[in-house]
Amino acid sequence: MINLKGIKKIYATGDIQVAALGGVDLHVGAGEFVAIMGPSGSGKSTMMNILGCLDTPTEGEYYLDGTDVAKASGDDLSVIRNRKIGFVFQGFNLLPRTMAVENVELPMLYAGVGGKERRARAIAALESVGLGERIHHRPKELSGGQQQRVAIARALVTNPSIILADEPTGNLDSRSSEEVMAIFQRLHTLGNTIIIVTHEPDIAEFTERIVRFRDGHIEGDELVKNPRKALGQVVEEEGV
Amino acid sequence: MNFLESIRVSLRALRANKLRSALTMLGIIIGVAAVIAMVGIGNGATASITSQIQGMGSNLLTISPGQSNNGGVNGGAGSSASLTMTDVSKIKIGSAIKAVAPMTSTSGQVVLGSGNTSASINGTTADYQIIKNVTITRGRFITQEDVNSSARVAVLGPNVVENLMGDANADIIGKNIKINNVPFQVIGVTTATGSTGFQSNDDMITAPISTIQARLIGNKTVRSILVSATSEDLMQMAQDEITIALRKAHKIPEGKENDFRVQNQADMLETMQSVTQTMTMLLGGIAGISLLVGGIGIMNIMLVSVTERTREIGIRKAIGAKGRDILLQFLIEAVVLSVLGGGIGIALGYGGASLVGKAFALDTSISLTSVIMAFGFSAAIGIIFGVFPARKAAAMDPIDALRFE
Ligand SMILES: Nc1ncnc2c1ncn2[C@@H]1O[C@H](COP(=O)(O)OP(=O)(O)OP(=O)(O)O)[C@@H](O)[C@H]1O
Ligand SMILES: [Mg+2]
Repeated sequence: MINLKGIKKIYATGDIQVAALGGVDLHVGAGEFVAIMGPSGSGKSTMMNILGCLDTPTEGEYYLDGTDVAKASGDDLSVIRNRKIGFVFQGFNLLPRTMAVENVELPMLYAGVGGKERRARAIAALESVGLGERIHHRPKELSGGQQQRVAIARALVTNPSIILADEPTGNLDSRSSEEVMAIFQRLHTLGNTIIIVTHEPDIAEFTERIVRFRDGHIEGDELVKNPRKALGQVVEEEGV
Repeated sequence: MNFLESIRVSLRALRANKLRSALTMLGIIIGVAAVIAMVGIGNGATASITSQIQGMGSNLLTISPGQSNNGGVNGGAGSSASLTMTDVSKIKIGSAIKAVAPMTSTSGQVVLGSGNTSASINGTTADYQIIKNVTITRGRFITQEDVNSSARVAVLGPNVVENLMGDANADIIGKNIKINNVPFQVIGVTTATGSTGFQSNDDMITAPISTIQARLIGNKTVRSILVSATSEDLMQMAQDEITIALRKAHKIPEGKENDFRVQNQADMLETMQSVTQTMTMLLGGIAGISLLVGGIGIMNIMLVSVTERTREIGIRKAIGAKGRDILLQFLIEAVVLSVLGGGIGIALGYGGASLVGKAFALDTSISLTSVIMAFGFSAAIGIIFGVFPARKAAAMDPIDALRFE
């Protein structure tokens, strides 16, 4: 599924060179649920951006479903992001002034899915994250947790091979965080591969494997003994 | 993403910022409207001058004093009084020449009782009626006897009658009018031609040339000589006959240039048209510059818009938009602005031109080609000035764009 070999990312700011990633080897198999942890500045976001094909490594090989994508060009990366990857950002990154359902339709727009099917699949995805009654709301009319669920719906609507989430609960309170994690857990039981970045140990406990970063290197890689079950399994909780 | 979807996305973006879109379009609207109106008015002026020259008489040759200078505008021409009544008598009516009439003109204050107007006054001979196809509603035209005896008689255009008596049909025949205090008897009124503009007979007083020279001008000038050729085919022959006769009369040695010029309608048309066309091009050019400014306005706003929407571009790219999709989106936005502006501009320019046409009785003709050209041109402006911002947007790196605050 995902195979990283000697991935380096070096930023040159003026004369100083910062190695955000100093040679990372990592394997993530299909259907895994992984949390990436580590102190601030340890290279987690850099890692996620490379995994999500938003960025390319300075050095190393990245095999995604068997093909090396480390050297792919801009438009090819767009296609890979569109077909294989669902990305959930810490800051949601929804289009403002655009209805939830249209935000979720967006990746399918670029995949060339027809208008009717697009709408139907977007509504289904929003329903699966418990937002069936909020499809015509604009981001600013939704709470943080709801916005993050729209972003998750957008990430999963294309049935990507992997779902990547960089601090998906970073802006949320504990209840909303748990709801979001419940969605990830359900997606995981449905067979999706999921990688999330988090600072919070309790969030990491909802996953099955924790990879620890320090100074651009993997410092630890362990399985979670007894993954916690996230409560608040999404039911329509409108009207609360 | 297909083209239709791109258009929809672009339209949404434009609608999200209506005021800005409208203001951006305004530049193109004004530019296109100006081009359409200016070219329309210019064409109208050309058409009107053409019809006036053609309405001046059939197979007309005009002899005027001054250097022969074909086509060009010569400031000195017409200033030297080198034509005389003797010249007129040297141009013989024959197989090629049907009629010859000398012309002199002045303007003056015309008074009848309490009525009072100013008019231009033509001094000429009886042949003028043949050359200019003048028809008379009441009374008669001037005759050779009137000219021979320097009779103080005058033929009035209907507008002059109306100005003097308040009614073009008022009974004025036999009445005495005063032109610059010289009494004249009205002997006839010409039929209204309905034409306007310079040298319309409706606004003119016609009198024997001898009378005008003696009583109003005080010298024997002949401003020009009008000659009517017997047919269009014989125009050249008539022109040659005139040239030979006048060179002989003026004793111009061989090899020397004429001190007069013979112009036919085609020459005059050409001269006038080249003047009006230059005017049209000048006006159109100035208007074109404002169109260019409108285009730069589009580019400016698109650049602002690209910067402002950097995050949006980042999001779109992060979830799979290719460079081409982003390029197309912004390019279509620019083209929609310019084409919509162009369409409104054409409508406004058309309206403006016909308004000016009504006010100045011009037939402002707006050709289909100028509409198509304006439309194509504004689309081209959208593309040319949209490409740069659109490429800038398309080339953005997704993470850089997402990090943009
Ligand atoms: N665009 C950039 N230019 C230069 N240096 C960068 C850039 N992006 C990241 N870095 C550096 O790379 C290192 C890793 O950054 P990264 O964002 O991956 O950290 P992180 O683990 O995500 O931290 P946090 O938990 O605070 O989000 C940092 O030292 C950072 O300063
Ligand atoms: Mg980070």
